[in-house]
Amino acid sequence: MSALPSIVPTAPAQIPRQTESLAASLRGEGWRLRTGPFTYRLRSDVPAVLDGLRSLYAGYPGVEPGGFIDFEVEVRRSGGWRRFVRSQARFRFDGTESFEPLPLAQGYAMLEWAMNWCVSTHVNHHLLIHSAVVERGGRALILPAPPGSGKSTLCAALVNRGWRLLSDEIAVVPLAGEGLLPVVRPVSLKNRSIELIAAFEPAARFSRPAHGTSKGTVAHMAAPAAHVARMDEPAPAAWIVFPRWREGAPVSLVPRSRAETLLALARNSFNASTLGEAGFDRMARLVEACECHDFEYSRLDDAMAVFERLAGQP
Amino acid sequence: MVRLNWRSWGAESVAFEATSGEMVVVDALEAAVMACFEASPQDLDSLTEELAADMMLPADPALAERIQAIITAFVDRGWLEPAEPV
Repeated sequence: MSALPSIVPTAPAQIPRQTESLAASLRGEGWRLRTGPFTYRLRSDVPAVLDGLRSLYAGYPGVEPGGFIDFEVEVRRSGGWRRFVRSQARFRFDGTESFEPLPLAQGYAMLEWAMNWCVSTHVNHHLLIHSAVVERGGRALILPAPPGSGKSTLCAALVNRGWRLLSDEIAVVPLAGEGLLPVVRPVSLKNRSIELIAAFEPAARFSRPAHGTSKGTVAHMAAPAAHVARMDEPAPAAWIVFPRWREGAPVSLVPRSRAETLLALARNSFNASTLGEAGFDRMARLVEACECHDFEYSRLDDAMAVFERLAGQP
Repeated sequence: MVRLNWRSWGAESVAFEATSGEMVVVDALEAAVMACFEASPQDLDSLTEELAADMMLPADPALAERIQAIITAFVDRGWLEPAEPV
């Protein structure tokens, strides 16, 4: 793949909506999709992929014919005898097979992981941090955390309580400029979090759950249409909060040192080591612009109250 | 000596060494020791006196011992190297 140029946002009125048949596009020349600064051409003959895209990506902008495609992604059924016995989904990136094949029913989850992988392993013109990002009142909240910390659950809850989704997985931080770039995509939830968020926000829409994945049962929550429509609006970061879910823990938000925050951002970054000094400078600038906290919670309602107060501060 | 990129917030600093990509949190005394070496080579006695005066600490053997430990750690990390014997 060649260097990734910044995509010039299409004016909202000119955003081409997906009008052609999704299934035909996926099977044929590919369905062209844009999520924030990144463009994909998706090809698939896996029913779970079609199902997931149809239910969660219907309102997304496409890419103008002839427009630059950053990532060529295919999730295809296995060929040969595998077509008949425990059929599998296989991921190909730019024509090369990557990842181990997965059961066909996990095809949509595979696509979402593959789309994250495309960005996290190929984009080096922005600083990338493994993190959820939401925004309120023009200020972005970065929630960096390893898997299992409750980051995505918290992100999904915040998105359903007045915070705008920028990303569930990757904070995209331009090396120059202040605003974090939205990469609005469905929020990945696992196991108990799926039921928890479904009960927390009955209007939330989900993909069909994929059972038995390496992460357990996985389902994706749709990004609200209004958030998708604002995917070209960056937001400057105001808070960096490291979340941790712990059974029965009282809610707590405690200040965290900027120095330790900087180190933790580096640990959670996909490409800080590749960016070297430019990455260090950008992370330091990010830390200087933000209040930094550790956050522990067990109940979503308590967590929402804390972030409501945080957003209300001048 | 390596070239370090520094960021400081109150008593805490982070030093980044671009060649290795190593990033380390250092306290005020460690940062001061490194800053003195960045300015010029030093021996332990003069460094202890200088830092004691700057940081309003007693220039006693305990301080010298702490500074020696810091220097050793920086040498082990490859950020400082002993001067050639004259």
